[in-house]
Amino acid sequence: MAANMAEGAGTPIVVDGETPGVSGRWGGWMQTIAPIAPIVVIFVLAAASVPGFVSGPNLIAVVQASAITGIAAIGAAAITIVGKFVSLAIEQQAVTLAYVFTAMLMVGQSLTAAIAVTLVAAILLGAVQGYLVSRGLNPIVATLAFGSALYGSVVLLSDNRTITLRQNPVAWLGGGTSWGVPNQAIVFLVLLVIGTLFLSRTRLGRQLVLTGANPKAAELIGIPVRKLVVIAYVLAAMGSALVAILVVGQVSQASSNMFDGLTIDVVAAILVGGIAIQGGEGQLWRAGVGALILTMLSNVMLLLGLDAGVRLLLKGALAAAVLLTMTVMKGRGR
Amino acid sequence: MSALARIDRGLWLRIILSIVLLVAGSILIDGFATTATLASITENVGLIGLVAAGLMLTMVVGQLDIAVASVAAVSGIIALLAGQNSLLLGIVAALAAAGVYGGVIGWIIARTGVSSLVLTVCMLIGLRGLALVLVPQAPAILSDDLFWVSDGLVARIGPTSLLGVIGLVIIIALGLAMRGTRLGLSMYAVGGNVERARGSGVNTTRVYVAAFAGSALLAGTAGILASLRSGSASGTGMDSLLLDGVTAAVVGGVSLEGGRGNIINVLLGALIVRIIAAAVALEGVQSSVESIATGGVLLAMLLVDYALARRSGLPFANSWRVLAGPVRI
Repeated sequence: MAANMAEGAGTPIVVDGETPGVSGRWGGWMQTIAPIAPIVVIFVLAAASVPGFVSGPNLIAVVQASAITGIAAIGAAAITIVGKFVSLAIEQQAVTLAYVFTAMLMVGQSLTAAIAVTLVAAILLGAVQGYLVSRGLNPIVATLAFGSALYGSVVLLSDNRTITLRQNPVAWLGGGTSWGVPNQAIVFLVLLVIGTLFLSRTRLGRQLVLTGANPKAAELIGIPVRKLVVIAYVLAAMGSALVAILVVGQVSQASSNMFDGLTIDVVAAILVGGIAIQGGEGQLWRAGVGALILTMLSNVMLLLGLDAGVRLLLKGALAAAVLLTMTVMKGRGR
Repeated sequence: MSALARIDRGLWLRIILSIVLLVAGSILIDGFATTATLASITENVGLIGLVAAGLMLTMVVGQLDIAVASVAAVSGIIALLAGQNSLLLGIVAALAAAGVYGGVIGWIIARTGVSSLVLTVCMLIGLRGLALVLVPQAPAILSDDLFWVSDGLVARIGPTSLLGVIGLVIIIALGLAMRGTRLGLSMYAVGGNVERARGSGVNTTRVYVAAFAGSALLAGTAGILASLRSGSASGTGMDSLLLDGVTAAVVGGVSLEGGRGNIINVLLGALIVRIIAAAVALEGVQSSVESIATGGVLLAMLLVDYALARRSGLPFANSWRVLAGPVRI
């Protein structure tokens, strides 16, 4: 890390812990703005060409839509930062937690109890995945298997029924607005700030970042690497729990297909934001930016009348483009 | 312990497990011990085996192609769409597209050093989008005068069907090529230790291109065969091929660490996966039980692999390689 700092010493904009290898002012600067550039480009193009894009309600809709992906992505970013890329069980665990939360409210438990049980369930789900991965199992394959078994269990136990709340004590949080801004979006931004402070200011946060950057060095200086991997998966599951509570608040029900496509959106957000390639640098905002880019893109394409296939195709293409651009830029200075 | 002895022990373990499952199924489940069930199992072993064999190629070189299900879906759709007039043309077009795609992916991975896992996740998303672009609503349908192809593929040949035979022939040919050709052996060398392989003169770019082109071709073949069998290909179809294929490969003892894996064990892995799926289907329970069973088997196998490797002191237990770097696999 010291070497990176020295290299970036003459560059004012270089973020702490910037990638080694990109030499000079240009590289560091480019890497910092690279994820933001698409937002500006998409925004300007959309404002100029898509009628109805720059209207208050539509912009609020964009922020609201990016909040769910964004919150899940911020949670999942803990896994990326600790060096394990991502969990493929995100939507399955969000569905599970939504069922847990709704079922607790259905049987007449208080809101506090429902939230507490949902969080405990999230900790369990995260800890199991984290334990498996921390022992050296392939993170993607292990979470693929875990997600499949979990989803099957939930569908089986719930008999694949949609359960609906008659009284929804979290409607204000999931569907409401404060000063015209959707509460979901406020939660998203607050979480982004808390997460960033957590990573840069707390001991645990810094240990997460260091483990991702160099697990061997982290273990040598006495950081409990395996424990941190478990914690990262628990944090990701907590993100899913928050998403589950917010969406149940919004739609007052839990169903097995309520989070279809969430895993893909989260993975794409993490890739498009560039956090996956930077790995172990703890730039959490990249996850949020990724979610915002994707939602804006989806929104523009929706307004243009493009169908789901094109949107998915462009998500994949954009993720690949960002991934390859950043990998090549990172490799050039070596 | 010699490598051969270890492979043999794994082989016997899988043969015994398959037999135990078959016997248990025959005793416990009505209608399991019929030629129809057996043919259905072996036919699907051919199909899942193709995907698993493709995954084995990329896993042996120390990478992972997570986009196989999307590749299969797109290939099946291309074959049916381009095959409206001449089916042969459709199949050739689909295979050419899959091969070129896989080759380009392999080349990019070799040249940029990008994590194959992350890149192929992008492809998983993008190609699924492409599948939905090609057939937005109603699935692509095989034209009426070509229905004999579907009937022909499921025509019984001994204990399996024509589709099963095609799959098995391709898989076994691949297994022989892996052990008998220079390129095949180079794959194991690269997966074992890429620097050492490069040092001893192996062209690693060629190896990666071959592995990913092979993976896409095999997944594409599976997709084409499955689409021809059912006579239709939808934009959302075949997504279960990823879990089934990975489970078959991992149950078949292919190491996610690279350098290890052989085709006979992969076939047995596919057999075990399909026996369980057939048993679940015959019991008439919900399909969610199948995802619990497949996911559970995959998890259990990962853990067994881990425990065995740890006991015998293989590098797997030393997780540096897994931990090293953000997403190197």
